[in-house]
Amino acid sequence: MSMGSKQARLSTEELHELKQLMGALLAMLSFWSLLSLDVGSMPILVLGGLTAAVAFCFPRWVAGIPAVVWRWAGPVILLMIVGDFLLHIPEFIPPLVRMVVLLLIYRVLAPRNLREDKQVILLCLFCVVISGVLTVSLLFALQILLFAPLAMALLFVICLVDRGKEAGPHVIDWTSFEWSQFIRRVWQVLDLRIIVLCSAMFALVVAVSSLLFILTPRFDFNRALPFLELSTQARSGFSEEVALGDVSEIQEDNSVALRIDVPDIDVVSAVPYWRMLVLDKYAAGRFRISHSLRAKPFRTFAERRELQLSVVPFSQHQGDLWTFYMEGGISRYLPLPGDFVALRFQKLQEIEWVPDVRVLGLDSVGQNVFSYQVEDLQFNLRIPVGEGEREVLDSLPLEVEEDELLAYPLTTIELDMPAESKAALHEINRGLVGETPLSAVDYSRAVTNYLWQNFAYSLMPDGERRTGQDPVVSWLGSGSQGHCELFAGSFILLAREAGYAARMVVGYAGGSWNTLEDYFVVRNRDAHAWVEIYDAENESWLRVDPTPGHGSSDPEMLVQGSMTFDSGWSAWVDSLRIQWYRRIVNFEQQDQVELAMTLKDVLLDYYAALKQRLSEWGLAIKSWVAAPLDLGRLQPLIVLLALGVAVVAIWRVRYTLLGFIHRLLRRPKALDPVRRQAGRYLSKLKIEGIQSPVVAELQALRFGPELSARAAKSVFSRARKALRG
Amino acid sequence: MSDAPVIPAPRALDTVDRLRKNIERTIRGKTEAVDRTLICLLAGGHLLIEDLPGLGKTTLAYCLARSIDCSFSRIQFTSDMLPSDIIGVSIYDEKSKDFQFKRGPIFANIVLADEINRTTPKTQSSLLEVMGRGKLSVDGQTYTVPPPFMVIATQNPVDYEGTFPLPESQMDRFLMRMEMGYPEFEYELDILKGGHLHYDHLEATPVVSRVEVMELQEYTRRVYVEDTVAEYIVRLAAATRQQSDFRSGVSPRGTLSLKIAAQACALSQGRAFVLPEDVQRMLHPVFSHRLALRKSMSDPMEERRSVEALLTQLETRVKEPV
Repeated sequence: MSMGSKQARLSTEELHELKQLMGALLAMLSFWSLLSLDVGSMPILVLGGLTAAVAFCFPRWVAGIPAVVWRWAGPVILLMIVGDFLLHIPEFIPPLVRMVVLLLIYRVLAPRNLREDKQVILLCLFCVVISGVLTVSLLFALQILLFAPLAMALLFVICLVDRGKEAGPHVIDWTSFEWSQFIRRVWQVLDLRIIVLCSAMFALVVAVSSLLFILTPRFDFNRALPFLELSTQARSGFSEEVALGDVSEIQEDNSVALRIDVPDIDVVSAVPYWRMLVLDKYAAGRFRISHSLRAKPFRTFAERRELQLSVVPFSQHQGDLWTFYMEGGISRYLPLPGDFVALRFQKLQEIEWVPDVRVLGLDSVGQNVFSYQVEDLQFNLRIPVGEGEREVLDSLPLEVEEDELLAYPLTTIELDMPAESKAALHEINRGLVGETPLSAVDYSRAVTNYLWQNFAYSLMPDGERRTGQDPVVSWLGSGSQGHCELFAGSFILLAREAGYAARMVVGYAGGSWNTLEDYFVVRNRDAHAWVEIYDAENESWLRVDPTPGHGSSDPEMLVQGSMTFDSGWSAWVDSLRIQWYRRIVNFEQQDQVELAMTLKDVLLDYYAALKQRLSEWGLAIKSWVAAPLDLGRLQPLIVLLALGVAVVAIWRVRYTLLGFIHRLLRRPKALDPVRRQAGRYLSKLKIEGIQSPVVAELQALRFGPELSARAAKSVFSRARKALRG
Repeated sequence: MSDAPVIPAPRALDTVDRLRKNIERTIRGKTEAVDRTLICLLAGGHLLIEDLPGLGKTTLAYCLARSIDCSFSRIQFTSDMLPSDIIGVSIYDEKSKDFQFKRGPIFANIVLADEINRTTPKTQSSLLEVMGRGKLSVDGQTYTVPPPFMVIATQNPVDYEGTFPLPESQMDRFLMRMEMGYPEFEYELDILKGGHLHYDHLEATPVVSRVEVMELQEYTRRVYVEDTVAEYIVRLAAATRQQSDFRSGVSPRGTLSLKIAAQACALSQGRAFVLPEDVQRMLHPVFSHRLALRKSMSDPMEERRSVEALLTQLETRVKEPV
């Protein structure tokens, strides 16, 4: 580095060389970033990487490609790109990536003008960003960190080269290019000011990125990134009141409602039921949450980061973590299949918790992805009876007056409908069970069988609506097919008429497994309504799914369904989203704080250790100096000094010495050391192609009559000078 | 190491340069041929020029002889020539009543033996004997040819009808064989403009004395050959013997010839020691006429080209000393 007033400058030729080499470096970086994309373009990526590496290391070879190749390369590449797109018509990202790779290879190899250099930067930026956004890997950060200074430097060089008049690509003469010499030249012109300026700019970039890193989890990315926005359309969602047909409406929406990171695929049951809401109150074809369930004492309101339940027996406590990502606009109630040990949010969250029915709600419907973690989740078939319910439920059967303000759990046995309808229900019940009372399980089996035999599942219910009669009962009387709410509603009304407590549960049933990133996907079309009936013998609410094709006709028998698996293009796109969620959405504020604290601690520790080491050294030196003169103390120093002098002396007379040894040994085969050394210098000069008067002298030393070692030494020193240039 | 006086290499170079420039005034654009001729002269060897008629073989020999201030004679060989036509005859002198030896054209410093393959082996061998020994005996009397003695023989490689090709043993006596080759366009134009058809009209003034030439020959023998370079020469010779495409390798006389040629080559560039490059430069002219293919070819030009190619291969195979 020279900092004198006479500043060395790179010639235009050298700047062009620098520009070309940096372009190749950028291309290598982009190929590396695309490697992590995994779109089946491995061979072409590897080819591209190798090409860029060759262009970087041996620019002379690339310059040897005849110009006619470049004239034909354009049309050929265009044909290849068009063909690639046509052959893979439904997909567009892999051909797009291959297009970029092909263009980059072409740009790196062909001579470029300044405009084309900017194209290289743009292509590289595209590669790095696309791979970063699609994979959300941590490598992205490193790649963008490398890209930023490189691109800035290349733009700087372009500005230097730009003289405003540019006809075509500047043809660089690579014949005299030498890597070592080039690096030396660049080192010569490096200016302190440039380095400081570049470092400052780079630091600024890093600072901004760090700021973004901290801000990202607190930022509404669904709005900012278009590909996330696609699925955030307004939905009807689950609310506290469900009319007949509401759930079926949700089923028509095919978008994803819920993604769940599962500890292991085997933990998920084949047809999991994701409970969200319990609807206990029924009136005129509408199920809703009763007023008592919406208020205290059933419902507790709190601001929490964690919710403990701990009803899971200790033996099953394994610390498995389930991470739920619920899309925005679904519901303010969170899907929970059953009991758990603990549930955690990312930050303090206002919640409404109804422990008796295991329903958890937020204060409002979120517009963004909401994530929460559940420890040791269970898929319960039965929900144990809550403390607030036990008293009423133990005294079943009861006669209940219809009342709008009836308290839970009395709402689960209330039958609010005209007497005619009640009679119709009683008629059916009598045909099913006779006079002897059945257990809840047996009764459920009987009713489910009855419904299955007489009705078929369809999203378009039939049956005529009789005025003055309950809509569900009139469907039971005249219909032949219906949706899940009708089946669940019929079951509930029949059960209540027979004296059992029953309530409706809505949520999702089923889902599919994404094989690409190994997580569970629940879509809106999996929305479902089912029933929980109170089983007095077990003191628990038993889940029954009376809809044909979903559950089993026997409530105690688990369905051995098979899980569906998602793979292919759409699954791949979906998997990108969960990667984004995992890394960005799920990144907790607390973790960031902890990371920063750890970093600070580590730095402080290092600082303290360094300080102590330095002070120790200082003390040691001080005590050594302060100690009285002692020959024993100086002994090692003297020995070292003597050794050093000896080595230098031997080095100065090495040729004479070696010649003496040579003569002493009289090895006929061995070459005289002066001759050997001269030969070495000769071949080095020959390889470097250096023409110098010292060559003749070296030849005389090597092949001529013997000369004195002293003369040889001066020739050798001149040879070294010639080699250094 | 050696007690021999140091060779005045710069002076040698000066002398050789004078000679070279003088010859090149007449022989234009044939630097390599001139150089080889001079090297041959320094080495004290004989030269065989194989090329078509009219390419300047005779002119070259004449120029050389005229530049050196020494005698020159030309013998045109024919099939009916007898040894006496070269060596000379003893005739009876009436006055002294004795046989007196009348010296033939061989008694010159530079002898041009034109179309040497046109004469009978008997005549050829009489010439070759002189070449080998530098002296000859007639009727029990030994005569020495005046030093420096150099025979420049020529032969036509294409027209072989009615000729007696030189046997290998006799080829061995020539230090080098070389071709002249056609001149370049501009040189030929030069020749055309100031052209003389006969070499007798050529003006060449002696620039180097006979003594100086003999001195140079003496120096040549003293040019230093380093051990590894000597090994290199021997390895090259050995390689010709291992090469199965050749009928036989070069003789030790060939090896010696390569050494002296390399020494002369070094001296002609003003160097008192031999470089591997000198050896490489002399390899083809010294070795090529000493080697013959195992499967002989009908066309001698073709055969010569094959031999040259094999020699080039051999040169790359044998590692040069570094």
